[in-house]
Amino acid sequence: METNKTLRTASKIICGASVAGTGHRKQGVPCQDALGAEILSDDAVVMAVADGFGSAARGGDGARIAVAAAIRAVKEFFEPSGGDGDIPAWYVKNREIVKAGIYAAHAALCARAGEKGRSPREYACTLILVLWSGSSCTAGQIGDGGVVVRTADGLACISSPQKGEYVNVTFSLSAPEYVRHLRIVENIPRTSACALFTDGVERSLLEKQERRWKPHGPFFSPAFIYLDTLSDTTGCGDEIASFLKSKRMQNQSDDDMTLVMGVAAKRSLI
Amino acid sequence: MNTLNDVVDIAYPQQPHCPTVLLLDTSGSMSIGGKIQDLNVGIRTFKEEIEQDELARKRVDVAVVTFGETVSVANPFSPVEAFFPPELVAEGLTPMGEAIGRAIDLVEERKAAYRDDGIDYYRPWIFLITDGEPTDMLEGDDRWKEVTARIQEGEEAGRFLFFAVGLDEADMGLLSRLSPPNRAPVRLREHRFHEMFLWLSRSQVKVSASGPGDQIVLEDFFGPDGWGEIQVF
Repeated sequence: METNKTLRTASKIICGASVAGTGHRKQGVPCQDALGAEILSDDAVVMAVADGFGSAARGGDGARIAVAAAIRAVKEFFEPSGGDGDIPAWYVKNREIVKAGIYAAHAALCARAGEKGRSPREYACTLILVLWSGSSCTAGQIGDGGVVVRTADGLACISSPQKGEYVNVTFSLSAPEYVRHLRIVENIPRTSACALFTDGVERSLLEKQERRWKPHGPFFSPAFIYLDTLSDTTGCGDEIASFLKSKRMQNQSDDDMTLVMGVAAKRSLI
Repeated sequence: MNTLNDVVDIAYPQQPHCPTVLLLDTSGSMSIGGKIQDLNVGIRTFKEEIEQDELARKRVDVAVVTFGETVSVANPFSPVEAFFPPELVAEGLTPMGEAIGRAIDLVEERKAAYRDDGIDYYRPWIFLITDGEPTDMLEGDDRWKEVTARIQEGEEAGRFLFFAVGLDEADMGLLSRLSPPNRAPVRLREHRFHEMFLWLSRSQVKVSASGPGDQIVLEDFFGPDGWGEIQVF
């Protein structure tokens, strides 16, 4: 099972896809990753990816609930409020908007767990939420996966996979102490492209150098340029899906894979 | 016309590694009843079984530490595909205390080496097999206290997983007091070395395939057809 998405605003093109891993396909288990993206205004978009824990009975549901709730909460900041029609996003800091999204996602997991008489742990998942407003990028992350941007200074991994000491341990949005593991990076300036992805993809797109994560240039440079120069973007989501399903990607990991990418639209390109 | 897939290259990272120490009693008594031969065959079974699994063969690293005449690192850590099982010989006493310390040191050194090379890793296993009791420490003496403290603290801090198997004359009560509170030692039934090493290799396969948030459920080894028993003290 896969989902994919392509969006276009006056100033940005976003596309993404989510593909079930061979591990889950063999077991007949649906994809436990989720993705979401919404237009907030002419020059602002919100994007999210989440990965349900294998040990969580309803991790896949958790991932979908988290993404939907986070995006909904962020959208509210871009809707006119009160009698004067002010847009809260004009005066609320981007970091606060992203935090609100993450908090709402956690609350939604707990609410669903409560409704069903289950523990929130059954909905355990990671979550990455990105607000790209104008040329300013703000990201919030709990768990693994990561965020890469292209700015005037080049490529950078602005939010990197959170792992425990051991490669098979990470942090969950459903945990009561989740706020302790929330990392926010705010207002990265002059962002002309960004990408967010779950851990099934991270080892193929990031490199570890001197104990730090760096973007793998030979992927991101051509990938962003490709999107920059694409004249017809309708099939973008499909192209990302094809890439994730390619043999070389499937050989790297049997995990679910999700990748969302965005570029600032060039105005004068025909 | 080029697609996205055509224009990009991806990174090919190092596999995460799964370090396992086989901590083996090669004291004189292991020559009785063919135990040392069974142990040698078992180690080869362990290697062969792991190599059957596509992922595990690239991820499992093995070290062998023996205790008998001396404490010896019979095999420093190596990837399982480059691991050539040593032919073990049984002689001497049972310096288990010193051997446990050596195994724990080996694990910490290996993890530091992984970190230096940017290699991810799973929680290491130390798998002890003994048919007797330690001759280099007595319960309650200084070395005993030091060794048990290292095991308990190491487990509690999640630094490794310590698993003890006793055969024949092994003092299971002593092994249970040595072992971490949540992991009772197992008595090997009837020299079922082969089944035990199959279980160990399958367990390492599971660990080495696990992703973040996965729970690793080990196979049962007890029950009438199982290779081991747990006694409650």
